[in-house]
Amino acid sequence: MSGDERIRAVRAAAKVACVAGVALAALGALRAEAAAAEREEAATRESGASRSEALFRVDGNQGCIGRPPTWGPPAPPPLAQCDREVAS
Amino acid sequence: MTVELDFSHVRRRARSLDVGRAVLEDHERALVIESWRGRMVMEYSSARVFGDLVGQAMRAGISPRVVADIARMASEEIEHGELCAEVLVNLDADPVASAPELLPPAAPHDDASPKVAFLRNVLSIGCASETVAVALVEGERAIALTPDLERVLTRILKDEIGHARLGWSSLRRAAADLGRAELDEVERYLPSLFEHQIRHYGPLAALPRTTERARRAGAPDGRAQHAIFWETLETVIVPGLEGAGLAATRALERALERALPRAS
Repeated sequence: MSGDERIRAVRAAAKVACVAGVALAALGALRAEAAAAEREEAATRESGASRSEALFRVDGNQGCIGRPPTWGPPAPPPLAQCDREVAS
Repeated sequence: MTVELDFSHVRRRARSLDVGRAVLEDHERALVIESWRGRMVMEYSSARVFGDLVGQAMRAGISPRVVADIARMASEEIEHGELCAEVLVNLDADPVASAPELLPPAAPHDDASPKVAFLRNVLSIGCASETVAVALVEGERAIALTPDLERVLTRILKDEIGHARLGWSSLRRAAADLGRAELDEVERYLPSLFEHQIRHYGPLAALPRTTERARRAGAPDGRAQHAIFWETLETVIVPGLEGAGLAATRALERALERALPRAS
């Protein structure tokens, strides 16, 4: 998938949020970011992709019933125990 | 334990669709079939998530119009399962698969008020998962191998947009109606939500590469989809939640801090 196609995809998601009146990140910034990602082989973006790859190696495909995730939403998780303790 | 999920009923009314059957090599077709079969299971299974949300919305006193919309969304997910089954039939594959017998329900959030519980789950479903789904489906629609596949994806995309908007419109109303204490209870949930999203979509990055033709017919383009997930999370979801007054950036940082030690 090319950088332009990925931008178009994320723009579609952004439009959904925009229609609901939510502020959006500038799409110009997104375009620059996507271009950089294209040069560096998309999924190696340091902020998250490589880190969640590492998580997957440890935790397997938890939460996606033994198949790669697709479009159907998984069940929302409970509040993590550590966040319960913070509040009490 | 698993159950056999059988969508053979779609054969009776399945349209003749050009889904690339004639041009796919056998090894490509096998990957594409596996992908659409997985989608059939996942779409069908996700109907229960909206089913759970119907009860939570009613307990929270959400407008009956919105409750009716959520009930329809459950039905739409089952229809998506049937559309995936129709693609399988046109790939000369059986629309049958094994599915887990027991799947987790939407979290009840007994620690919170009904309104907060509903909003936590609608953020997870609409603002996060379904907003990512919009980007993923659109990403695939843009490169669809045939016009018929593009039409199937367009139909699914239309519904996913509605599901995502449920989240963003619910958040907008809540930001106006809820007090700060209740919004804090919603905000407290965000690290759990993000950690779950990272774990859910993480497997995309590890999927083996495949051919361009197979990708355009529906085989997962794992690395590109993983990049789309992160771009949507960082440039759409987090700013959107921040725009409603929730400290989403800090929550994402916390989710990553918590998750990383487990990976080392």
